[in-house]
This record gives sequence, structure tokens and C-alpha cells, in this order.
Amino acid sequence: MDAETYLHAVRLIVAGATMAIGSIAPAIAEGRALTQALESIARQPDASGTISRTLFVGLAMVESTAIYCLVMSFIILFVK
Amino acid sequence: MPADVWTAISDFVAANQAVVMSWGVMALLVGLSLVVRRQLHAPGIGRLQSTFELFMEMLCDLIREILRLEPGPYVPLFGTLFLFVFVSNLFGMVPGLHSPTGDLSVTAALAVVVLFAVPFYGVRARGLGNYLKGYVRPNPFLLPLNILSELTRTLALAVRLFGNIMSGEFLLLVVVGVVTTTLRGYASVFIVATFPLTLFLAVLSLIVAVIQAYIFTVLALVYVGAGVERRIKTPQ
Repeated sequence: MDAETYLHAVRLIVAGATMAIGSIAPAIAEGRALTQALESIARQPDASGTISRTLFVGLAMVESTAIYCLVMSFIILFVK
Repeated sequence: MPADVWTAISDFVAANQAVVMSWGVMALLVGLSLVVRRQLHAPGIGRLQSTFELFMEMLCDLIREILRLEPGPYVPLFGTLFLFVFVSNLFGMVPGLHSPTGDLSVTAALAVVVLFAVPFYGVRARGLGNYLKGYVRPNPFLLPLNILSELTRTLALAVRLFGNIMSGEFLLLVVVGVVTTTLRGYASVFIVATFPLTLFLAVLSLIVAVIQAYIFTVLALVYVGAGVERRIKTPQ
């Protein structure tokens, strides 16, 4: 195996690992946020509009960690 | 030579897919708007017109709730953003067409629009001095972090939309592609077998398309709202 192929294999593995490890925490966090929001809506259905809008914004903020991981894995894959 | 012209056109479309698809989305939106505008003069309210009025009302309510301001000056930008992203996301559902938002350059352009809209509306609402003071609050040490957050959230805005839309199309491709390459002999049987799965994925990406358009608009509104309200000490 020459250096170029080796480097490519390492790139693929590291990019996959970045995505896999990096999306664990955001997934757990989003699940918790969603649970809380559902509980709040069940308790207070009148506030569901405000809660779901805030939930979307919050989820987007939590998600950015996973998005940075996606960007990093793109950089690892494609930037030579 | 018509054949040459056709190959030239198809080459151009293949090379500039995102651009051509954006043109398609724009043409669709402009055409719809023209049709609705013509209906405005006709007596009665048509189905299309009520749809658009419903959309406008929801948009105004959304802006009012998030910004706590009269929606007047904010409607054109955010209405356009929402409609463009919404129609672009759904564009990929049509066979033969692709979502322009599945291309990073298109979503990056949209995010840059939001990046510049924040200081624009902020300066207009608060004045230049007050807007710039918002960057050194609560403490001048946070100036680099404030600037960094403005840039990274723009990046996140672009990549979020791109990732969600692209992954939807990609997933379908992978599911069908893996099946056809690994089970070459029996491919047709297994394509039929995976039909429920691809159908499910298509429905999923349909939901994602609508939600992502909403999220993009709400996030842009929240960012602009942060720039506009930065110096308000006593909210009414």
C-alpha cells in the first residue's frame, strides 16, 4: 500500500469517526430537549405555539455541534 | 445545428445544475406571483389567492411574535427567503429536477444574505453607534467571540440546510444503489422490495423539506431580532 492510498484510507476512517462520535452528544441533547418540550405541551397545550417555535430554534442551536462535525469531516475528506 | 445546440444546453445544465435549478425556482415563484397579482383585480377570492393570503398572515404573525415589532419592513426579505427555500426544498421531489438547496453554494449565498441583513436592520433600527455597541456587551473581552459567533452561525445556517436536503437525496441514491450493485442478478426484484423503504425515505425528506424551510426563516428572524433588539433595556 503506497502513501497516497494509505492517506486516503485514513481520511475515510477519520471522517466517518468524526461524524459518528460527533453526532452522539447532539442526538442525546436533542432527544432530551424534545422530551421536555413534549411534556410541557402535554401539560399546557395553549403554549404549544411558543414552545414548539422555541424548540425549533433550540434544536437548531444544539444541532450546530453536529454541523461543525459535518464540516470537519468534509474538510478531512476533500481538502488535500 | 439543433443537435449541437441541444448538447450544448444539456452540458450547461449538467455543469451548472444548482444555478439552472435556482432559475427554475425563481421562474416558478415569479410566475405564481404574476398569476396571483392578476387575480387580485378579479372579483372574489380564488384558491391561489387565499393560499397566499394565509401565508402572508402566518408570516406576519411569526415576525410579530419573534421580533415584537410591526412586520412591515421585514416581510419582503423573510417572505422571499421562506418561499425560495421552501420551493427549492420541494423542487427535488419532482423527478428529473434537483433541489438547488442541496448545493452548498446556494445555501451559502442565502446565509450570506442573512449575515448582511443583520447589520442592515440593526443599524436601521438602533443607529450605527448603538448597533456597534452591541458587540462589546456585556464586556469588551467578548468582542472576538461575538464576531466569531456571527460568522459561525452563518456557516451553520448554510450547512444545516445543505446537509439536510443533500442527505435526503443521497440516502435514496445509496439505498437504491447498494441494492442494485450488490444483488446485480436479482436487482429488479429487490428494487420492488425496497420500494416501501424508498417511499418512507421520500416522505421523510418531504417533512424535512418543510421543517428546514421553517427553521431557516425562524433562525434568520432570531438573528436579525438579536441585532435589532440588542440595546433595548426595557422591553414593552
